[in-house]
Amino acid sequence: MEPQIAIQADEKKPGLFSIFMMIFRISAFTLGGGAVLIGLIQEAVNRTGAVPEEKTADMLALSLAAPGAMGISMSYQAGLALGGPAGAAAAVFGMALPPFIAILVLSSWLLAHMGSGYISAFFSGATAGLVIVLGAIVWKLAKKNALVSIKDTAVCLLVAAAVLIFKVSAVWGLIGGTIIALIVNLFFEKEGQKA
Amino acid sequence: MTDLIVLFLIFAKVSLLTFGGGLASLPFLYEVFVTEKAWLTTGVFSETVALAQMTPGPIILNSATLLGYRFAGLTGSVVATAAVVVAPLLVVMALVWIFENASGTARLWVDRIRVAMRPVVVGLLAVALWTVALPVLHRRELWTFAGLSAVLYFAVPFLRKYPQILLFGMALLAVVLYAFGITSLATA
Repeated sequence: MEPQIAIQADEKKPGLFSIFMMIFRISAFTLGGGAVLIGLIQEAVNRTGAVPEEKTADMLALSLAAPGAMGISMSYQAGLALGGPAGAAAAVFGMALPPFIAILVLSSWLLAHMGSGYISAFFSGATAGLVIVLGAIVWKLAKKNALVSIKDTAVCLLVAAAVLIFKVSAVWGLIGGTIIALIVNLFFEKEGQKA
Repeated sequence: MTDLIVLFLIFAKVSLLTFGGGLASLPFLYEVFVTEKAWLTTGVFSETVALAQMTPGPIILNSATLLGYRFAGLTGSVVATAAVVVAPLLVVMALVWIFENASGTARLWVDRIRVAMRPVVVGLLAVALWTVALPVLHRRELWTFAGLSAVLYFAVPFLRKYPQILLFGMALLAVVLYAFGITSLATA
């Protein structure tokens, strides 16, 4: 049975077109910007089972740390992990194309109907659903990466509070939080060595 | 031609200056397009921004497509979008390379940073969730929608696989109910 498992792992890697479609779908139907996009992409990549979840968590971190659109950074990494450089190109196109098409096709129509109750109701319904979808993703991530120890939970809460309550910008939250976590982790490493 | 190069450079610069979400790019874009170059009026700019937020996809990409279009038609759109995609990608490529190829002491530090970043990332995503959830919490009529979404999301594996279908379904349901006279769904 052993060799079969290896074959299966390889089969899990989607083809270029599936990579493109996976990202295209997410980009085309997700409102709410970068953080929502990268969460959904991570979830979709995890679902393929072709990339270890540890690695997709790193992708999130890198997307948040890099300048520019997080969705693009995340797509690049997801595509790269699933299908090499060609996969990365397919994923980036999948992310960039929908807004492009949507805007060229929809913008004049949307501009004319922006005040319409129907449009407003449409976005209200989508947003209510989004809270649940994003909430499930964040909860899953929290269980794996934050609620594992008291110090990780504390760092997570500290960063959230700093950004939300004290209006620290997300970049500084990321940099400051990482430095604090780094120092705390190093301290525990040293303690561990002494014991 | 020189105009297009200028456009490319503007968007490349803005996207490299933007950390932590597309909304952060808007002040930079405003400065360039309205204050510095006076290519757009404040009104046109805000209209563009509203549209960029309403259309799916990354906000900075949407604004690039729109502003590029206003500036030089379809070509402008393509050039601005390319700039927004390519410039930060080079940074990401470098970061990914370092993440994967560091060795020795550098490897040790890369791993330490990776581990340290994990709970921080969760914290930032929790903030994003809160930002999305707050307007819904304030609108009682949307609670039913959120509740229904939760039930469907956890009960139907298909919807967990394709959450966009759930979002689209909720959006359509809201439109239908609005058409049947539940006008409170439209107060933005």
